[in-house]
Amino acid sequence: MVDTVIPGVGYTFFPDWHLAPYVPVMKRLLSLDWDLFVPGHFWITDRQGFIDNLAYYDRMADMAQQAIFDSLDPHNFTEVKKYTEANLRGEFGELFRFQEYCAMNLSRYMQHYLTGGWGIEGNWQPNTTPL
Amino acid sequence: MVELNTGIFTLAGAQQYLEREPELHVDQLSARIWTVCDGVRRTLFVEADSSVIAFDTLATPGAARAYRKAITAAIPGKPVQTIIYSHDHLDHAGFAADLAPDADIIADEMCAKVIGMRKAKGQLLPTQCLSGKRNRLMIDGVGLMLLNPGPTHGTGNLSAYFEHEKILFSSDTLLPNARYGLLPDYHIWNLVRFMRELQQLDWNTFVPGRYEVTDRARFEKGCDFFVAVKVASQQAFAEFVPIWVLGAMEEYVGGKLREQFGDLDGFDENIGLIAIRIVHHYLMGGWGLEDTWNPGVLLADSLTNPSGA
Repeated sequence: MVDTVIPGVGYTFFPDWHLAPYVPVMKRLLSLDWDLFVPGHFWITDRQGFIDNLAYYDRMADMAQQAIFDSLDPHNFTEVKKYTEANLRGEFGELFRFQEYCAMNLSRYMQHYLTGGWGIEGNWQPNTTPL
Repeated sequence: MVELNTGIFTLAGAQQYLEREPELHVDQLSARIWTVCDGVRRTLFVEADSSVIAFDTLATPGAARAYRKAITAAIPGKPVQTIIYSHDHLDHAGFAADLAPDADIIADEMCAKVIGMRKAKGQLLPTQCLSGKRNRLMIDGVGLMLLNPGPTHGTGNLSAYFEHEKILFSSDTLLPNARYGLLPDYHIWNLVRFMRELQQLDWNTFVPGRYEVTDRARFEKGCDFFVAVKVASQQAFAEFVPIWVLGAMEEYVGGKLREQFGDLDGFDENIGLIAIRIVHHYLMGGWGLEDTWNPGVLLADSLTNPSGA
């Protein structure tokens, strides 16, 4: 499946990702019987890698909300980088492209919570039943 | 006890952030039009014959209450009877329940449809929906024009044109600086085309959704800035710049544009983020129906309006 689960942190600023429905919709794929996941970029992963990757998004959603409550401004990228380094390196610092993209990931997720999600796709109430 | 309106937050601990009432700065732009700013976000309110017309709600329940107090201080004795949503985003239009829960709420029909799906706590559904590019309204003795030239930022973004005062208000589209960050929910394909339609109107003062009030010259510079970033971003492909690397895009596009646009406040901090966002527009081809030549047509009829307005 192309440009969804990709090894490492999220790609840049999650371009054209629909953050609200993304994780619950992706988890529907776990109802199928498969062992290998072929992403649209980089390395093939397995079922556990897929689950771990989605857990990163759930964690980023929580961290983004906490960052807003901590008065972090998502437009102040210098401060977003500092906050990311202080609060996320311990947990995710080993992931591919943490240094390059994690702060952009956090900024994008913060914007999601501040704005409420983007357009029809970002506010859709998805079907989350097994496929 | 009144339940706190929490938007779409799911994490505990939001109360202090949501309840805080920020200091607001109010300026009078004309005999009946005021602008209010929380330090970043900006909006307008208008004195009508027997009431007040408020654009948007500001970003939190606390900010909405502070907004109501600022309106009462500027225009004592007249209630907010009308709220006009500039667009769907919670940080501008999320908390009518705290500003004026009984007000009539006017919005674009697509804005209303997104709000209906979102079901955010505190964001009330519109009671009157507009469609089309241009709506001339008379509200409690105030004449104004609400314009939606097409997708620019967010969904159903309405600009307000006050012909008599020569004032244009457009929220979160062009800014008086370069502080666009990652251009959240901007529709890159058509933004400049539609903003230049608004430029054709006869106005002198531009009120953006963030930062300071500005004028035609900086509006025009904002259009030119976007065009220049779009050109430089396409050139980055031709010159094999690693477009997925923030620092590389910052250096390449920043280097090309600094002489002409480096005086825009926030240029150095933001040009890399702006460039990496826009270069992905060209890499991917735009995002969804908003980023097409004839945007919005398909979705307009495919969803029902939740408010029935």
